[in-house]
Amino acid sequence: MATDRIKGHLDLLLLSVVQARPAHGYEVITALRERSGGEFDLPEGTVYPLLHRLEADGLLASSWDDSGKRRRRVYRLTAPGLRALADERSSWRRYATSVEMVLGGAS
Amino acid sequence: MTDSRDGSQSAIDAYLDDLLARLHGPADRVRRIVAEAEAHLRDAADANEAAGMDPAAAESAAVERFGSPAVVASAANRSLGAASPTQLVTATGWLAAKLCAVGLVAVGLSGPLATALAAIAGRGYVFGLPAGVSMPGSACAHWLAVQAGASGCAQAGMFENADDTLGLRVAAGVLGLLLTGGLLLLRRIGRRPVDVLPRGFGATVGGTVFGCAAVVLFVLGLSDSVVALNFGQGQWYVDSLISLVVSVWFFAGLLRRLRSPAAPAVTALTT
Repeated sequence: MATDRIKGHLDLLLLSVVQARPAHGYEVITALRERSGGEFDLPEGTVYPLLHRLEADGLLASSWDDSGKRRRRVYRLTAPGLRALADERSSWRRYATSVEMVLGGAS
Repeated sequence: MTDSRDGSQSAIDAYLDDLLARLHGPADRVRRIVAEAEAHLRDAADANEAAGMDPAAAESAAVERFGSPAVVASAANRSLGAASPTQLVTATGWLAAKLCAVGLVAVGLSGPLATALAAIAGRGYVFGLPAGVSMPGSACAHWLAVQAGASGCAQAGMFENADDTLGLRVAAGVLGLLLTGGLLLLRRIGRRPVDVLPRGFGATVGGTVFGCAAVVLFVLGLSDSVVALNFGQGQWYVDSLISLVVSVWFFAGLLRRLRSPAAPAVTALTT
């Protein structure tokens, strides 16, 4: 259920994870799962097309990193990505507050 | 390529081969997707091994968490924005099979519904022969032979039509259920073709086809009351009603998809 609910907000979550520091796909997906306490558990392979789309939209940039045990594509937030994240975060908080107000009012 | 010691292909290599076969698009982008998938799977397998799994189990667990090749390829192909002719043909075939299955189940439902309507409105209204139309003698002889309790040709034809309507339509419904089960089974075992058709295309086609069918069947029912085209007009209305319900069902699904807050991002996850 939690996985279903995040589907409309994956852009926000992925941008937020990458904001902390540049990360390759496996790190991004692991961080998403760990920071959600295991609630957001997606088919991991489906996250890559989303990262690619965010990159195509100019919100992320990526480059190959050959320094480790194996070659990885590392993603980092761009300036437009940072602005989009701020906007999305603000929008989400307004939405969450509104939902909470309604739920609280019903109790 | 890394093979296990017994010569069989490793789970990760088998997965990557399967994924690669399903991807379609510019070579550099396909190569990037496979490279990222391989790095991810081997990182995940390493982590699983570090957690105490044996190597084969670690690879299998990594592959399982990554998602089926069909799902991942479908999401990736959408981002690649490309589909091969083969993918288009198989996706269209899959959609056609789904529509056939729904259509057959709808026909199956129409049999009992027509019988129920006959119990309320009379068998003549639903199954009766057209008024004032004389039937060929051979048809009458056949009906009277198989419907021994009938008082005449018209009644025998009506009884025969009622029996055929229920029996043949229920058989079509069973066939539709079997086809539905086959499609669900293929989906469950990951043999569903990559969905390269536009989002909501299947629901649009289904809703339109069944909606048009509902209108045509209703008009035929109206016409039948005037010119007596065929056996009782009640059958036309039952068929029209079922088609309308199926059409509404398709369009409701389309609306749900279009209203989903998941819009573009989720497309990749729901195929």
